[in-house]
Amino acid sequence: MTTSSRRDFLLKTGQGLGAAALAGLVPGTGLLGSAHAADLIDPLAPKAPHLNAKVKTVIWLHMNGAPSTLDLYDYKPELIKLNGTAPPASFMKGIKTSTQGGVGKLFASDRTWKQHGGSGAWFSDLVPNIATQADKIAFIKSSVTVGATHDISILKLNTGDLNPGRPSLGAWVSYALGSANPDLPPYVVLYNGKNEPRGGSVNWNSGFLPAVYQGTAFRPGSSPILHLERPELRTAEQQRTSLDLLKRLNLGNAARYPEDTELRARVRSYELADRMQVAAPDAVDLSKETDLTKDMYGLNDEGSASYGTTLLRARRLAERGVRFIQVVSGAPTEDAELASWDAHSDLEKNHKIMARMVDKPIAGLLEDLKQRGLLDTTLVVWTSEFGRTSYGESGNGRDHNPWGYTQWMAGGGVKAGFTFGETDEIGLQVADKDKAVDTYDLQATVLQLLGLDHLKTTFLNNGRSERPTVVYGKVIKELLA
Amino acid sequence: MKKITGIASVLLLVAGAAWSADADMDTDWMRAIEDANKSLSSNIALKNAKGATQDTRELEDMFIKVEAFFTAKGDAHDAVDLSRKSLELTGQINKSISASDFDAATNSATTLSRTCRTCHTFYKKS
Repeated sequence: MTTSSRRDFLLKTGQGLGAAALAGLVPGTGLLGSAHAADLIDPLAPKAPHLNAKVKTVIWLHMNGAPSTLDLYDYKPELIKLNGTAPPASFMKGIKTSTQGGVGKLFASDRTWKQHGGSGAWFSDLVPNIATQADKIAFIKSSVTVGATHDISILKLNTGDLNPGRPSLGAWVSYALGSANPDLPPYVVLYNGKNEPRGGSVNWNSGFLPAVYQGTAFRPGSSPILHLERPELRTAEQQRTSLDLLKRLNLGNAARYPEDTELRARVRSYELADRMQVAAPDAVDLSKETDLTKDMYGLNDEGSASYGTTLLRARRLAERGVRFIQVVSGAPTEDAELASWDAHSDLEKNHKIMARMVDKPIAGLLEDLKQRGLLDTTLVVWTSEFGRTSYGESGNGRDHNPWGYTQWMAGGGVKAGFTFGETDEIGLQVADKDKAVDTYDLQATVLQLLGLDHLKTTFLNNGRSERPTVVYGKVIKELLA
Repeated sequence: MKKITGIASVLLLVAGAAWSADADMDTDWMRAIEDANKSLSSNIALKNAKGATQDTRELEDMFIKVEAFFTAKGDAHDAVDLSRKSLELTGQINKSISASDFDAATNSATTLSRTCRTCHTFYKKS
């Protein structure tokens, strides 16, 4: 290696790694990562799916902290009957509780239940607005995962592994399908509340895929991407002139060194940044939305306004062709005591606040997508890292439950008004283990709806062919229309 | 007294050996199976028949040992059945690879991985 090429190598790898690290660590700096992922000429060029795609966009609603789906969707009269008694041994078979805080008495919260829609799906009084959308929803009532800490199980939900290092589902989608809008990133992460989501950027990382495919976290507020705005002292014309000069110089060099894809990627990235200065703030600017729409998303209620704003932004991003929008639920207000669904104690208080935060916005999102003709091409996934136990903890809370909980999907290609699987009579474990839906199966099904065969979505990493579902994954065909 | 001490020592040794076998099954064996399974999945995806066949041979040897372990352990019918199912699936994968039907091999390999997960669930129970 000559001195010159070694210098080039160090410069490029240093910049690339630095940018990737910075982009991964700081929300809103995903753009920098793309500036140096120059191993392909245009890694974000649109690519054809393997199959007939049912949807163009996924809105992945992660309920952070794990709601008790027993108190939202999974009505269990037997649990109410056995309230306050020790769980019968037959229901506990196979459960290891040593690291989950022990087993309390069975606990039925103070809920009222009603069937809704033509499907007759059960909903509790905590989600009266989502209940109005019953016939758009396909429930998975036999969800399972590996129960560990929140951070580890969230990582598995998003990346398929218990350790950091694998790409998130959104990164695989960006890699496999490219971008449908050259002015915006194909994979955006949204959250409400002042803090970045629990677990952080490993949950939207590109892992061993090139950094260009990682998610770009949009911060709440009018300036979604850090350092994206043009400095006040610089006019738009000055910036344009400077970018034009830079482009001429870089293209000149690119012509001299045609094998150097870094240069072309850099030009592309500067141009993308320029376009994003307009496109990204416009995508999250709600000033042109009507009051009716804002009310539909619960923006007129302090308890749901922050999450509603996030979901309205999600719809605007879906309209603009963003492929994968990962929305992580946060705190209802900046000074809220609660920032997650993690109700180890006082479930009543926690779930009333958190359900109020998401209920109207989620119902509004489904209805709004439908009215705009977008629901047929969008997939909404309501998911969490695990569920909560039917036995109580701390008297009035519930512990983590990875053995049987509910998730749901709505949108294009989904068998609306259908329920797949069930839990046992007290809602603790899946009733039929052959119908258990692990995170890999959920991911395989989402990819299928996007037109991607999870077995053929592969990337060669250190000589090994890797896929999103690791070595697992089964498309749940019963959920498909 | 000496006799009682002797019996206790033998029991401790036996218990220790059993614990050690369990520990081996939990760590080294299962990790080796997991590694071979991941390698198999990759080789099938890359249509590397030679590498995939080598992986299935390794897996077959290991599943035979797993079945023998759980048979000897007793009261682990699920694990014995799942070991047999895994062995059958490995045979199916071999046939598909020989016929250059890598799609079928991928499907069988995914079923094999799911069987491994199911076995881990049961194994935790027993």
